[in-house]
Amino acid sequence: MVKSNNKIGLEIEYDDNLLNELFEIALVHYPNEIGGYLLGKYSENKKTAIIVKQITALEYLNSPVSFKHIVNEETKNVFVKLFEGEGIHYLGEWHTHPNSNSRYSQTDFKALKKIAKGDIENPILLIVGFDKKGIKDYSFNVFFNKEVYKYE
Amino acid sequence: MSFNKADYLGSVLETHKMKHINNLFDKFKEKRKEIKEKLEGKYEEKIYAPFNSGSYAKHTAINSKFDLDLAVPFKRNSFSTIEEMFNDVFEFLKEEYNDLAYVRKQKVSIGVEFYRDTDGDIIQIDVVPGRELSKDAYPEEYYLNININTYDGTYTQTNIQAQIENIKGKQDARQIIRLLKIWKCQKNKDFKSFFMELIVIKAFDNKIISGNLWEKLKIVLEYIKDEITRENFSLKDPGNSSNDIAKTLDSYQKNSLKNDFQNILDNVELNEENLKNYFKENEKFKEVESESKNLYRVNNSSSVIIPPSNQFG
Ligand SMILES: [Zn+2]
Repeated sequence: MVKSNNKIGLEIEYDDNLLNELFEIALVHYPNEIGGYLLGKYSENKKTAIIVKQITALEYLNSPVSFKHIVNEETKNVFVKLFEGEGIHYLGEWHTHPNSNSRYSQTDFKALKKIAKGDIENPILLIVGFDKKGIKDYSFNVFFNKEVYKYE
Repeated sequence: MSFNKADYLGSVLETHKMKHINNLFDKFKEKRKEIKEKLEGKYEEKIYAPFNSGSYAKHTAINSKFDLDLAVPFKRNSFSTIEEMFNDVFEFLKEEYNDLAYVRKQKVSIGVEFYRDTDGDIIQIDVVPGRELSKDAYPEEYYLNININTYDGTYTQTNIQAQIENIKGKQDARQIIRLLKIWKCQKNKDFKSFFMELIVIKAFDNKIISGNLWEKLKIVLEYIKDEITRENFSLKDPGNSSNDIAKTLDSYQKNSLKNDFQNILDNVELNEENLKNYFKENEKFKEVESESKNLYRVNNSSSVIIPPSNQFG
């Protein structure tokens, strides 16, 4: 699946199974939020972010309205292994909004801003809005020029 | 993403490129060709081939303000005085374009300003007649005497080919010249473009100018503000070594230029984004460019990327 944003001219590419996988994880943690990291690579021309896999946060605190992950040593080692072994790296984040929609919150915005100060300036944020019956809606977002843009 | 001065200046230049106005520019070239053919028909073997001069020939043109120049080299025996030559070309063009354009005498050229066309565009071509110094000398040396439009019939020696040659291959200097022309045009400064060209080239000759676009511009601005008011500062016209272009500015103008450049440097030092106050993108041609240039930015692609711990809601 490819989604793009015409205003900024960037795209993402991902496998449709990704959302099924996330829904199963979401149910396990219901009614709390859960989340993790999106990994993959950028295309040669740096216009497409290709999501290859996700990793659920190894250490975290959560509630029905919040999710906080801690990037501990174990997590860092996983990133190093994947980078050296499979050539894929961190592209952004995902988390769930149980019983809610996929609109990003002010907290989510601040989190993206924080990430953009590091090694990648355009982190992706996938939000999955769901309830017990299934995914209600989901959104792929990207932080660009101090704003959040949605991929359609 | 933080504001990047070099990227921004790159966009200022990009949005001022001539390629954005190809249709209009074609009309200019069409008119210039027409004038060239009329002059060739009228003066036949009294002239050598007219040629393109001015900013476009020098690759320093910007799309927000430009004109096209046509230099017309006359043979030594064509007219007995330079003024007579100038007046004859003026009368001829005035006659030819009687109902189509406003033809007037300018400082060293004859301006042919066509009335607004159906697209609303005004085309202006400046014709610069010049006479070779001695019989058959032009094809060897390219020197010309050109009229200075005052009441006392003065003229000056120039070499337009040498002026064009002087800027050839100087890609880096031309970028800075275009930026300063954009500044001059946006701020309504009345410095001659030729003066800007020479002083930027001199800066490149005297300083090691490297780095990104902003770093280069900064060194040039510093050079100009430090040197311009020095008593013995001169700018030799490559077309006439006894002609000092620095003298075309009086001390008031020199000081004001020094202050302007000092202000740019100070204010950009204070806040990088102040650069936008001095060099604006040409908004007309901005949208398309900024879209196609975007990409995912990575500041460190050689080692593993570790995100920070984070809070979501
Ligand atoms: Zn959220």
